[in-house]
Amino acid sequence: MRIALLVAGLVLAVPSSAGALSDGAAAFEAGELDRAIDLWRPAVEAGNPSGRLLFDLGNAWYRKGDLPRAVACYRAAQRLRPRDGNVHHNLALARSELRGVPEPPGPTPGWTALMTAGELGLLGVIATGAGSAAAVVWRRRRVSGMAALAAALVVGGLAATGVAWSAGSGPGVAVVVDQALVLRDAPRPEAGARDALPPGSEVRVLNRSGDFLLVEDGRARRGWVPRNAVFAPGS
Amino acid sequence: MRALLAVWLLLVALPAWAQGVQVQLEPSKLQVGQTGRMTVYLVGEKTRGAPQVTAPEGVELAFDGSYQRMQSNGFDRLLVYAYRYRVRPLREGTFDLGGWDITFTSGKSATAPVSRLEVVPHDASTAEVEVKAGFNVTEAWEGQVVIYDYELQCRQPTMGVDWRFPDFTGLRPTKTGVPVRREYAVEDGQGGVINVQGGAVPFVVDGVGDLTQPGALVTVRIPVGDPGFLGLRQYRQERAVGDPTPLVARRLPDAPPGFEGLVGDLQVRGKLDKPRAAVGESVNWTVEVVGDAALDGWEPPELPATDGISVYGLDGVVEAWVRDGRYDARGRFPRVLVPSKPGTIELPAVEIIAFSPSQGRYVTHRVSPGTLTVTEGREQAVDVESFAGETPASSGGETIDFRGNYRWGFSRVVRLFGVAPVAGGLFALPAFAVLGLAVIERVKRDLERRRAANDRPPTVAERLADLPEDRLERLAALDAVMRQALAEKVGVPLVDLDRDRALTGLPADLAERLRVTWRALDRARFASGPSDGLEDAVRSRIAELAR
Repeated sequence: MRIALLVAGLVLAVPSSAGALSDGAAAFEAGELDRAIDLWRPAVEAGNPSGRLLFDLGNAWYRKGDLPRAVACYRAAQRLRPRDGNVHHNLALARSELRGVPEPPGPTPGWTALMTAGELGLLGVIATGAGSAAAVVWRRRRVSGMAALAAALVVGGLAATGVAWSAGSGPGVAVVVDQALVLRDAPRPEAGARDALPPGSEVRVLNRSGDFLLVEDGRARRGWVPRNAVFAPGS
Repeated sequence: MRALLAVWLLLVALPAWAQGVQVQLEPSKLQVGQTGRMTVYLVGEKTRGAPQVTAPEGVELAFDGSYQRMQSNGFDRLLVYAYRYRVRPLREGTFDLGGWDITFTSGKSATAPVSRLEVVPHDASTAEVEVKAGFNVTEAWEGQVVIYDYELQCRQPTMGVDWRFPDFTGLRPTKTGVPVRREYAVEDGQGGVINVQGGAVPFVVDGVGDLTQPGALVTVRIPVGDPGFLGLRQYRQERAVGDPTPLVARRLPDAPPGFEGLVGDLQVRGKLDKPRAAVGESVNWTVEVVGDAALDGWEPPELPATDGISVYGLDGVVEAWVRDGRYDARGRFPRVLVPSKPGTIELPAVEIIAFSPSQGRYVTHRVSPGTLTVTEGREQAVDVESFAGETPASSGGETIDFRGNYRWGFSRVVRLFGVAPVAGGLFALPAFAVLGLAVIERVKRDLERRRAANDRPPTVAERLADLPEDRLERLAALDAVMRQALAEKVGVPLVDLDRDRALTGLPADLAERLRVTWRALDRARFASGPSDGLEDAVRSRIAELAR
């Protein structure tokens, strides 16, 4: 009951912002891609965008031919909708049209293909609550095996919430957009060039310093890049 | 030449495979203890979960993740599901990986092709940067396709790899068959990683004589020391040169009439799409040539003129791949036959002459459409539409469409993972309370047990082990211990023990020995009697009482 109340409270706390999604979808279907993007982009930049919104924005960039931005939106949507086949599909489609880009960073933990960090966290909370209930039952009735079950649920549940928090707040993936990007030795524009990444390259963001980000590509090449040269919607 | 090669090398792509299952082994040669990678590609089809693969004895396979992407086969875009496995050989030998029966969700099934893994003994070589390059053969015939394979092995992550290839004098790149680029890491079994970058480029031998090429040169930046300030490393530049790559090209023997420059080991097939047709109805006949020859620009000879049949040629389709160090080409050359009168027409064979490098001679391949039975039918002038611009038939793969938008739903969501640890902690409080109570109870129980242990009188053995040093005190203690042993023997509390009465309850000989010992003790304690051997006697009596 308490869990249901918690979930209900969280859902009610979400601002009713379905309008941006449907308004943009109407513009998209009318062929007004720029208007759709103008409607969706502020909602994404406002923070905590939904997977659906990111997917739709990715579709708009894809239709406009901006594949790197489309890939960035699909990657962000994938993190929030890991079981959504449409997201995987369009991401694969957009990647297939990019040439000469390195393999994306990875691999990610296996569970991320099944659930979001939030879902894992919720599962962890439920397991912890069940473990607590089992502990109380064991305390009152001394049922054989109940103590071990309670310990396993509590430890496992707490571990799951920790993993979820770590994965959810961990570094995201950004995508090189507009033009080839030079990886630099230091977070300064005049720092020595190390390597170059073509548009559409997916990079993991490791650190931040001023207007620069330390990134790493799928071949473990690291370097500093200007923050505005990569696109990471919703992060 | 080098510029052309450089442009080709930028065309990094998955090999354009046909629908089905493919297996890619990286590398195909490992040392014992090293770990490589195998990728199973399901092209245009998928399975429920990862495909079931089994390792041959002596090799370990461990699933290492999956991803999906798309590729074009020229007609359709096909979805490719890639499943990665870590490959670790346990002993030397040659192992075949593949041959698994894979059932797709569509109900179809396919057998995975076999890739051969060669495992050699462990080599303790610790060269930091190593360049290997060479042709797949050292002797070739003029016109033959050879593969130039190059590889950089480095024990550190590399940056800015810059290859300088030789001029490849006497060789020209094939027009079909995209050069393969590969990039993978091999775990050396000792905690280190060997990063491998390389590729394979197909060339047609265009000259004769000694075509040995100078070694490839590579410049690479290698990290120095640990990451410093800002998480970055310093790099030093290394250059490495490979050995010269030998190749001798031989001139072809005098060619027979009809030879049109095809050099390779080939299989030729012809297929008529139907054995019966009505007059005026078009019949497709496709000549398919498969092998390691360069088929670019080549066309099979025309079907000899036959009464009652008009023949129209369509553009051929040539595809080629570099796989496992081999050049595999396939050309499909369609012809449209249109019968103009009824009857049974014996179609003549076409002769394709090729030079076989493996046999060292010219080989003639004959391919015949066979017999065509023509019936009365659409009686009309042979008025065939142009087929030249027609889109080739679909290969039957899954057609890939863009998936459309969501029209409803929230555009913002709450991130639950942020509150999960706090909520989890709150939910765990009852469990921690129960745990705390259990711990407190346990500690209390332990304390009580310890206190009870401290309150009890010492046992006979404990007292015997802790006798005082002073003679008289020691004799008094021996007396007391023997009394305690007697009390325990007869089962009365020590304070209630009547020694003489207790002794009457014992066997007579034991009672007598006890009395003697007690008298000796009393003499020693109160009458300065001898005490030599007395302690041993007491210990013996106590032992007898304990039996």
